[in-house]
Amino acid sequence: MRLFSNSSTYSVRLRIAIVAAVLALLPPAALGQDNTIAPFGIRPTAMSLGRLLKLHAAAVGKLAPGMQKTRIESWSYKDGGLNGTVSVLIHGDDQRIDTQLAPFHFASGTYRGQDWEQNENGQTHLVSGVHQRDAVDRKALAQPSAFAGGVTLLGEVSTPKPAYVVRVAPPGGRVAYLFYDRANFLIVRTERAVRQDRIVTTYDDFRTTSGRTEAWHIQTSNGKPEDDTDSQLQSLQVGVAIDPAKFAIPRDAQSPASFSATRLSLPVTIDADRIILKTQIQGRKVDFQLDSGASGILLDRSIAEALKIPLYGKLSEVTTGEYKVSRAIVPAITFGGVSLDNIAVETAPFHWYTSDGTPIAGLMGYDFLDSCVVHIDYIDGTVEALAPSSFAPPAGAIALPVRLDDMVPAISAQIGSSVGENFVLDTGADRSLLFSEFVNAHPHDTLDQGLGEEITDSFPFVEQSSGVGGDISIRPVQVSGLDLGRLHFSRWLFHVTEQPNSFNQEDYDGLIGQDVLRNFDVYLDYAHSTIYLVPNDRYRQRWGS
Amino acid sequence: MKPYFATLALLLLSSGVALARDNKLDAAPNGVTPTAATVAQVLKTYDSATGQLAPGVDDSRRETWRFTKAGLGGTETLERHGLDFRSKIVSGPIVDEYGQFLDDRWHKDSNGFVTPVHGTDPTSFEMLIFMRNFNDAEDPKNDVTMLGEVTDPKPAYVLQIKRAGFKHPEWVFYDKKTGLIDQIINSLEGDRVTASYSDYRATKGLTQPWHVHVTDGEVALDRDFTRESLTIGAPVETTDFIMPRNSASFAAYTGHVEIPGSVLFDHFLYEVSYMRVQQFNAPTVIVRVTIAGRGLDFELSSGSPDSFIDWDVAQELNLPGYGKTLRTARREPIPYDTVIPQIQIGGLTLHNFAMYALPFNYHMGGSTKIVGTLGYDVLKSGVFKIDYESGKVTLDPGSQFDGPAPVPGAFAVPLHFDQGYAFMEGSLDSHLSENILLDNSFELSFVFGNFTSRYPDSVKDTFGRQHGTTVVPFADSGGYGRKIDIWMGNIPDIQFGLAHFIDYQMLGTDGDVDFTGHEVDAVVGADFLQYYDVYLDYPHNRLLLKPNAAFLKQFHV
Repeated sequence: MRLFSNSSTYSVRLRIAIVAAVLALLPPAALGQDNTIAPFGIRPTAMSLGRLLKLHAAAVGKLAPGMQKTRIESWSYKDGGLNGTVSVLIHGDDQRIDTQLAPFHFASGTYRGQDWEQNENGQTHLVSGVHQRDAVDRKALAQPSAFAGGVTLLGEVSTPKPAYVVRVAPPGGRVAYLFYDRANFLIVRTERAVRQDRIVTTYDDFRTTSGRTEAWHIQTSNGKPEDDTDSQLQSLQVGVAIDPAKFAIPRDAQSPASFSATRLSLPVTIDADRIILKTQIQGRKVDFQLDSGASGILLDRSIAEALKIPLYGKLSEVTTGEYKVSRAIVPAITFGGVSLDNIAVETAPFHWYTSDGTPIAGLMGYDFLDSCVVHIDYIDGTVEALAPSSFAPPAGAIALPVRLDDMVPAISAQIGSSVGENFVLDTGADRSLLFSEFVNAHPHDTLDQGLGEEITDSFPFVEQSSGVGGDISIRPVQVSGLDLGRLHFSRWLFHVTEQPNSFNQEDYDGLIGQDVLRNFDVYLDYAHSTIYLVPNDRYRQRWGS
Repeated sequence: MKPYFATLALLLLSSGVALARDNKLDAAPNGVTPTAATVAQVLKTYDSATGQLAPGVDDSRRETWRFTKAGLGGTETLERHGLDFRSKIVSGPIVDEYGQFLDDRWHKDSNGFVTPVHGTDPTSFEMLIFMRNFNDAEDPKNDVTMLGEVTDPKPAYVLQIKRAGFKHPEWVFYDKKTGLIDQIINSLEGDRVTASYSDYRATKGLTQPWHVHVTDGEVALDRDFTRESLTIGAPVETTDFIMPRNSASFAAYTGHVEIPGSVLFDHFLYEVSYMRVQQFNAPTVIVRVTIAGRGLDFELSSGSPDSFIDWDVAQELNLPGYGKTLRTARREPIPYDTVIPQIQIGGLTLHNFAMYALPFNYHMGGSTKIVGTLGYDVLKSGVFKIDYESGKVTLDPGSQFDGPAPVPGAFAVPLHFDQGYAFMEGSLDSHLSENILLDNSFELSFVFGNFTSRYPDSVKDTFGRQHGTTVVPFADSGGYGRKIDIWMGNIPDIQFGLAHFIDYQMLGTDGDVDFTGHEVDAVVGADFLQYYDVYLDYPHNRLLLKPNAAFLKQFHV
């Protein structure tokens, strides 16, 4: 039984789709409610934490001695209005989870300590551990004494059923509340603070198999019915033999993109540093923004509806605001010798207009960017797709290692003397951003060096930046220095997000946007988990050679 | 055509229209010669010349400015702490105050009424906004190149800056001797504008200009700002920023007042669907005002944030502009603020009443010429009652309407104001909205795109046509601009206060509308209000509606 997972019972893609900095003069949005407060109705209890955890361990039980630590689980699963199945294979610490939702299949697993995920388009990426909160919580719960104050028994409640309530909030973890049934000491409910949500998971239909008692029915809810999930275990085999090869990290199941040559010049324009990719879908022209900050491909819902592309399910997602997302499979998106065939996309209300009135109807993110090496020349306004096998980094290029845990490139950056390991290198962000959590954690290194205040002096209104789903409040801050690999910029103008929750993607420090990237020839080489920057004339003009 | 239809049309048509490129605005300044200096050198010198605020100095400022704007002289006092501020701008008898405290913004108008402000109004920072370009060279989103150097008007290096999102470049002149900025040339609304900076002084380590002069070449319209004092870091009282109380005292009347005027019903045609035109009959409330012995017809407008008078009439009445240039070089009228010593409206006298003079007039029914509007500031001075049946308008003191139900048979709809615009709450097909504009100068009620795009099924076309709630953003759709649809919509259920209608018809549109940054879901116009005795109880921030005989005739209860 997985008490903690990324977003819901099974893997749900974290979406980071940001098109920033269409500055509008609007008032700040209201902040959301605190999702970490303790449940209501807790009263003191005579139970102790240590005794409760022992009683719980006894209630769960142990595998019969000598049994092989293998499991085969088969679940029925409902998520975002779609029905499907989940199959789980476990062998010791190795595991593999395959989810089929309507026509969409995605998978995740752990093999010899290496986590991995495979998306709906069959692309596999390694997970390096950007998100550690749930793992920290699990460790704290397993060994409370090692996390002083991280695990506490708050008391007991009588509703929704009599239960003891344990708060788990170790440093580096997330705030979670576990409800242990007063009668049998099994965990029947958890409430977890995940980004802006409070996710409630309920467990019932407990059954004992080979000595261990666990829930066969799990439901999650964040309060929005369309996001509810429901998992019912259909069968469970314990101790059976499983072919170890099934746990190996799979190669890409298929390439969603085909290329007519090993080097292709893509039909793009670069408008105010935004890269506009001109594509065709079913004979119609549809322009996308090339966006490394998008973990997939996002298509404006009205395009999908007009082309009569079937939509599947509906989920709420939050970037700069909340919006409803459905999945779809587009038969083909073609551009410049590239064809994305039967490509799984997400659809949501999304479009904006360039300065000359051209509508941009989507974001072209990971699924394409992972299929080739993308070379962006901001000076010439050109973009090329290069075959990874024939790509050699240009001489003098600055290599930045990236991690693609969430299908967006996370890089390390140093702000002043503070290092943030998880900045998203985002071709879709007009300007670089610091998320408020990073700023709060590093107040000295994010003190304004003068320019931010000068800007505010002449216009003391909180500005807004547009993104998928809405606007966020931002303020300008000039930091003392920005370091990317061996690049050093003395002082850099960032914008700082004011909201602590929804826009600030959990565990990320900020965005490195077009204001930085425009000074380089940029090579996105996801296959080798590396991004290369080659200083261009704009760089040399301002900073010399 | 009434003013807000004009506003609506302007808003609808302006979206997505690309501006023509003007090569004049791209031409580099004259007299620039090559230089050996580099961008980095110039910016480094500038950086050290401007200095930095001494460490530990509190982020508070008090400054006073003297200005001339198109001939109109005045002063401004600006006090601030962080993002909080309060300003007082005085031009002759015209006094405006603005402020912001935390998330609350406000404006005290020249007649002494205070209203919350939802959007941002940069009026208080006009002189500082001209210095905002000082930072453009440091902004990494901008392209900065060394253009060369000039000797006139002062020896200076010239950097060309192409700003992200701007069509035309700007040129910044860095003084060769001091390293500071002497001049910036850029484009504003199609004109080349030159801002000159001088009299630099250092305060707490920060060097700033105390004199700013801005011209687009038409000298009579120049703006000149002289800083007279600046204090940085001195303690300020937070209470200074809090919204003040009203101090209006211009209106004089005693008890119940009959307002001379009438309600004119006029027929007009409106296209309500494709190739389908419908005739409407809607009322306009006309008020007879007397200024300097001259009788004039004004419209009483619940949705107008200010009162204004036609520019030509203002000139005929010799209403003063206090030195402001009133015509462009091409003899086009320039709107201006003025103060009218006395306006008589029956038993209501307005003393020293500030109005805005702008080109504005239209005819009602062919014979009545409307030359002004009485808006929020007049309406706030008491409770105006509009009796659409008898055509009468009356005024009573607000004190006579104290209490929750001052008018038997009437119900109340709470109002909230944003920069003088009156908004009410209601539900359209059970969808709550607090962004419904109350404006009897709209002949017809509308539901705007802000609402119809969210709830397309709630405003269905009565003629059965399907309307796009948004443009399908294909890049090959021919016209990229917004195709604005207007249709006669049927709203299954509509409710304002106790007014509850089933299958109510309102015009629907997919065009978005906002007033001073406040997005509007719908406007309730005269076609709706005519079925009530309407009490504009602005002193108590509410609207009182009492169904009249026409209501009982028109609707099944």
